[in-house]
Amino acid sequence: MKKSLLTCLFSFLVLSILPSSAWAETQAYLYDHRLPGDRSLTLEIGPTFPLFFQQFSGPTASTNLSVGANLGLDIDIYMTENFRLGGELRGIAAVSPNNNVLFMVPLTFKATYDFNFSPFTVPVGLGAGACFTNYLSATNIEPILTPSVGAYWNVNSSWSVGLNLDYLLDFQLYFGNPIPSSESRIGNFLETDASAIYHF
Amino acid sequence: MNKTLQTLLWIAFVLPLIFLSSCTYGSQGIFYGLEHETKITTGNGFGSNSQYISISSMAQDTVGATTYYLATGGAGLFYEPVGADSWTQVSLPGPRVGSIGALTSGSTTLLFAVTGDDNDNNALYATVGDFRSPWTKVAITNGENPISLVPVLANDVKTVLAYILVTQLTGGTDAGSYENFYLLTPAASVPATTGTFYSLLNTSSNFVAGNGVGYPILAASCDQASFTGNVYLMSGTNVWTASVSGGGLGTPYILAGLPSQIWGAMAYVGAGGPGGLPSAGLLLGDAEQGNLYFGSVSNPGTSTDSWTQISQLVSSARNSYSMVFHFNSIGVSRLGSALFLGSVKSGMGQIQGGAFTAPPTSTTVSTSSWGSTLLESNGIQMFFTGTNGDLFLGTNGYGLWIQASDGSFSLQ
Repeated sequence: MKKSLLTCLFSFLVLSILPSSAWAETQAYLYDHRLPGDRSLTLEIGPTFPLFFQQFSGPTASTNLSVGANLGLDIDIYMTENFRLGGELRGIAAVSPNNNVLFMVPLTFKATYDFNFSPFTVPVGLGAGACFTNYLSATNIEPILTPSVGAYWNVNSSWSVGLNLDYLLDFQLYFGNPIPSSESRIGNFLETDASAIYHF
Repeated sequence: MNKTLQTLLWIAFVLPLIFLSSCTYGSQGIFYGLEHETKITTGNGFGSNSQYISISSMAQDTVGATTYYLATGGAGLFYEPVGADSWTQVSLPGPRVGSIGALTSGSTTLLFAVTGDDNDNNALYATVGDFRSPWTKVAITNGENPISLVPVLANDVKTVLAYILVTQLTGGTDAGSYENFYLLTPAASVPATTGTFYSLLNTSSNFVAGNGVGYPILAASCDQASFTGNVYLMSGTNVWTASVSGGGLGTPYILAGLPSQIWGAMAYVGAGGPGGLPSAGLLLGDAEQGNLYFGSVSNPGTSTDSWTQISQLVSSARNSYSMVFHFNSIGVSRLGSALFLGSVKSGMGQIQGGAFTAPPTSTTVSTSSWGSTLLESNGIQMFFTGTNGDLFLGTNGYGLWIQASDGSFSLQ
């Protein structure tokens, strides 16, 4: 009886210790390339939804643009196990009613915080930078903000795949020479991407 | 600092500075322009090339209960019922329709068209009432080749009172070959048959024959609301004045005292007319240096005619590419308050519009908002205002545009 009790207790201990040990090992395995100094390279691709243009006084108007497409490349460095800094280069194209292409190249400096729910990660980030906007013969450079949120499944220590949402706020400012300030607008775009992160 | 981070910082802060210097502004804000961009409808008579066609002249014809707009597009003549936005090509006897004109006498419209004929020369054709009825070739002096119909505008800068038929001597290759012009005015009574059209040509105004005017007439204006008073004729190198007498023109005289310019646009603006100008006077835009002048004329139609400059409204105007304007047309917004100035430089056209302060002291024209950046792509050819106020803008290679009631332009 005593022997049986000891066997049961041992079995219970083994059963309860082994999974937590495996879990810890899995944790360490999935996140072992997220140490300070490690880097990540993110490739994103997906549709861009031109939402609306907004005057600085408030009124909004349709963009008249089709659903576009975007391709982005993001390189980050882990400052802590959850916090990374980096930069993002993206190309966005959308088509006007007369089949002319609006082409945008946002270039941002980006801070991202990763909430880890093993084996998943939810990165929340904010980028700030400039966007090169070209349409017909006009090319502008404009300040932008890009808040973002994503959800990733960590496949292994090197790769994560998931979805990412980037909201692009493009502050197109004019000061009256040669274009009047009344034509200043805030462009609102939503980028929904399938993305893959390579950690190294 | 980590080398990768340094690289990123370099990209984030240095690269924008490099590209900043490559910014090229258009004629309007990019997002603003997209907000207002209107879809170009294809297959509407101008066909799939509607956005590339050149529109050089327009007229209006009323047939029964329906009013039509007529436009020369490319080498063809097109029509649409007013407001339909559906253009259809109509046949004329010859190819290469160059100009269209319409004059109304009573309830009947006389239509004129300069087109090629079956001998591969240019000819003037005419018809009565319905543009779809047969056109008849109008005989003019042998050896004179019709080139274009130039509308004589009233002092509201939009109502057509008459036409100048510009001709070139057959085989002529120099400026002196544009020496004969004819005046087309509404007849007191419309001829019953097309065979009598020649009587509409006021041969007494076959002026400056043999004098070598130097250039074909490009613009014509009357200083009154009806065909009375005096007519101003601009021929590039000169402006001529001629009194209106008996429905025809008196002897034309070169207007003295003008700045030394090659002219590209001209319009006589009546008192209280568009543009906020303080008095009646003559607007002249040059074709080389981006200058716009406003002045009064004393003794028009006489040998002592003389220009007095009231103000130089625009000086060395340039487009967004820093190219100097070549003014080539003047029109009036359908909203009634603004003058439009059409210009072109190196294949790029631009219209600017606004009202001058009174008295005009500004050296720039206030820019208004335009329907589309597309207007910047090609030259401006002409403005045309329908009797219901519709304003059209004909471009060189970028189709026909119409101004909406909110002031924006869209392609037909």
